[in-house]
Amino acid sequence: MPWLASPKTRVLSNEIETGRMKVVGASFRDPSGCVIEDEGEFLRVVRPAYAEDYRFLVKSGLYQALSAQGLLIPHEEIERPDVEGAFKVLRPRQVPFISYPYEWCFSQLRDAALATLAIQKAAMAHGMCLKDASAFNIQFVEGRPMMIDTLSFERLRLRPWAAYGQFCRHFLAPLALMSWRDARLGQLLRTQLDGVPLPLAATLLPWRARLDPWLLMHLFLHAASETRVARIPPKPIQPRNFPLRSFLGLTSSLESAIQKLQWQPPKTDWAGYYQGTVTGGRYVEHKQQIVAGFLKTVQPRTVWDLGANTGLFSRLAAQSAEGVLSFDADPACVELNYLETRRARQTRLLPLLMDLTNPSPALGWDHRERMSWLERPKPDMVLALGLAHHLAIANNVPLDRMADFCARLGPWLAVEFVPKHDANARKLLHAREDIFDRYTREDFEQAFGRRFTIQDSRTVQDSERQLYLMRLRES
Amino acid sequence: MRLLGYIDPGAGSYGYQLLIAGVTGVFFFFSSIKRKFFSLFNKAEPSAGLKDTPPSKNALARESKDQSAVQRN
Repeated sequence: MPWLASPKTRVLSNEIETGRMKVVGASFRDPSGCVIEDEGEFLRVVRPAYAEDYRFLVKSGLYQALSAQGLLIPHEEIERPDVEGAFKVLRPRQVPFISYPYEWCFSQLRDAALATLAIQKAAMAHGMCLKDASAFNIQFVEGRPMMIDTLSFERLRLRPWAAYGQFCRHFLAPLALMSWRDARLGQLLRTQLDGVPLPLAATLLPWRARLDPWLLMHLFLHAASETRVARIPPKPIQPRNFPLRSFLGLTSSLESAIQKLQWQPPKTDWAGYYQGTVTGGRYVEHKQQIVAGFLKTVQPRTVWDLGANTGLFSRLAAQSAEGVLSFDADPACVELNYLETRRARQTRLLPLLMDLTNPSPALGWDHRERMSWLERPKPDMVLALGLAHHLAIANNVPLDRMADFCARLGPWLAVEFVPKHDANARKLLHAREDIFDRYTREDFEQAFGRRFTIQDSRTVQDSERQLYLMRLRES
Repeated sequence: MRLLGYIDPGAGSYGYQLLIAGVTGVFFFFSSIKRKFFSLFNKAEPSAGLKDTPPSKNALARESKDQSAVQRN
């Protein structure tokens, strides 16, 4: 990567790493502009080629309409003469935590799809059109899906929608798979970064799905046309007129297709966790009191709740913290957590799907388009409640490695030790040989004591579980 | 089954939309009627989804202009 001698940053090529600014994420692909990071702040650079469309975005009133409705991230235009060759430099509202579609539950992806279509309809009403319909253009900000790619709009021309195939691959196909087959199929978006190919979705869906007229039109027959084109390549594309009513009908019928897709989260072991005998009764109430006390001591701005289940303790943290992330590996738990968050219009909580034993890796070209989980901003405090015994017993993670991992996350930790003879821990050992001689309370305190100082330690009523408040040692 | 196509997936979608243009146009026609019918009885939208934004007059005027431009070309 050549380092430029001039102090100015040229934006005409994709290689603009100089001084303190660098092009981030997948924005190198976009000829209209790119996102740069400047001392921790993200700015959007608008290239001269996009000038006319950008002026129209503002003049038509579309930008105002969408940002007022909370559908498009608001921005301010700033003066940055050091960014050479830019038509404009925008400072958008900063997204507190970047998440990706493969980390969303069913309803989050569905809401993102409906938001995209609402944006497209508003765009058409103002004489514009979305150039692309990627799920990666949406981020959750204050609990709601919002488009972050301000440069994704172009003047409306009555041609077939360029983003139609992408919308079906990024939204319709994975949602149909999650609704008709299994919620875990949303994970396909991890390996299929430009959406689930329609022929693949068509193979995986049950035959009965063809009886749904919207899926038949937008997925199955659409997939068949793709397969046909692959076999018999088309002649070079001549622009063909596409009536406005057909365009509007396309958007509306996609909306009907998405609205029809539903998923009822099943009663998994996790979703009903707090109704169990060990974990019911006075235990939960006392645990909440202890955790509330810990939160009051630390007063964190940001909190990560690991193995958050349906978000009981995340909600407690969200009463005082500015931002809480709830991570859980069970799609049903994340779904229930999100539905409750949405119902309560909770703006400080974002539930996400994350398997701690196999978290999101860095993906895309050069491993640099989508960040790994731990490349993203870390919290002030971590809650690891009812978690350690799963990592240690079900996943064979040694206690000192667990402590080292927690030490990478943040300065404060609230962690629960669940002994082997606890009823729930015993369930984990039913079908396994007990090789966990080094899993005792003393071992736990020793392993974590290497990296943390124990500030407080309380036994939770009606159990033999121990809750600790720990502070990271200065190294 | 061809697992990795030479041609990008968007190529099929373009022509496919022209193929289904008649169906989607008819759908929009009937859903507009349904919307107008319900709006006579109820101020709120019947569906739980986000509101349909009708095309602006400018967009419709552009439609007829563009259509005649295409015919000329």
